Amino acid sequence: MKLLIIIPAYNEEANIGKVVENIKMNYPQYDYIVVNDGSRDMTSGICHENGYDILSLPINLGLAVAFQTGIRYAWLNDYDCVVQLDADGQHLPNYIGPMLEELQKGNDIVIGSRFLMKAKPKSLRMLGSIMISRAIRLTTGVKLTDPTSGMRMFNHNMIREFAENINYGPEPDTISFLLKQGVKISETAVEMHERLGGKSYFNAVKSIEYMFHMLLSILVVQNFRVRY
Amino acid sequence: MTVLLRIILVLCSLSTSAIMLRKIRQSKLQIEYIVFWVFFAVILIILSIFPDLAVWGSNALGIYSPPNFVFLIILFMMIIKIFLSSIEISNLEYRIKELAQKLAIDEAQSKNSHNKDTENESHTEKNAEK
Repeated sequence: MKLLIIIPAYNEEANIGKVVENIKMNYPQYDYIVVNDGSRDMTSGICHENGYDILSLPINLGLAVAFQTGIRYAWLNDYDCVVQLDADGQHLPNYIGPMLEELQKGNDIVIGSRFLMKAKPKSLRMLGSIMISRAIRLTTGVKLTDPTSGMRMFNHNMIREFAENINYGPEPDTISFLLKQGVKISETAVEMHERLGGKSYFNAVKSIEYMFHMLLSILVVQNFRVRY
Repeated sequence: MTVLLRIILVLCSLSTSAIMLRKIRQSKLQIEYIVFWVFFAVILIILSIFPDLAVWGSNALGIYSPPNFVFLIILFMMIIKIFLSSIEISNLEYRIKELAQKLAIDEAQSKNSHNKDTENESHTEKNAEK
């Protein structure tokens, strides 16, 4: 199995070095690609200086486009599967192995879930996750414990589908749509860290906007979409 | 509000939603752009199902007839949409300029480094001849 780790990075100069060094040192069996999403800090500079594998988008195009860039790279280079790993150090590469095993059981997508074994903490931040979980269960009948987890693995068929279409952002609404279309999606228990350094671009307003958008998309829009 | 106006409002909101969803089906519209239109359609439907809202609104604002209040709401929403579109367009324009500038700079830089490379090569060739 040829696996590619896709690392979308936007203004992650504080973390990108540690994340990539960890993969290069401890997981040399996996290929990786950093997708720099038009960062305005030293993200691209650090990668070029150290000779990391990097695709650099000239302007900021958002996570969906950055991820799709990595997916297209994977498709052109004939990878069997890809996994998305955040550049802030939240996701731990030691769970890629177990996720890969789960994928090889015949799943199309494997989500690294923080809450498969543990209960969800009852915080305001988790309220969004709970609501999205409910919405997906309501429209697809499938229970996902951690739909907002960014650590997702995709097989060869999914790489092709994500590479060629629009409205295939790496977000819960796409997952919900694919579930509805009969794509096999499974979860594997993982742990995550807090981000190492730097700042997340998610603030209160953005989070509410994101939630509203996701719920509308899952509950209404996805029901009308067709798959090609 | 007359029944006819209410029917027209419902038809408008339904056809707006239908057109937008069709565009998404045809993969011609990004899902982000549907949020406003769903919101618009919902408001039109609410106004046509509960015409008392329009009566209340027109009384509160001192507007002569309830349908005028409905027109005012639609007008407001259109102005907001145009305003948001202007922001989007100027953002897009800025990004195109940024992209073009970057392209020009990168091209110049790669040409420079290419020239240097060939210069170095010719130097080494001369050295080899010596």
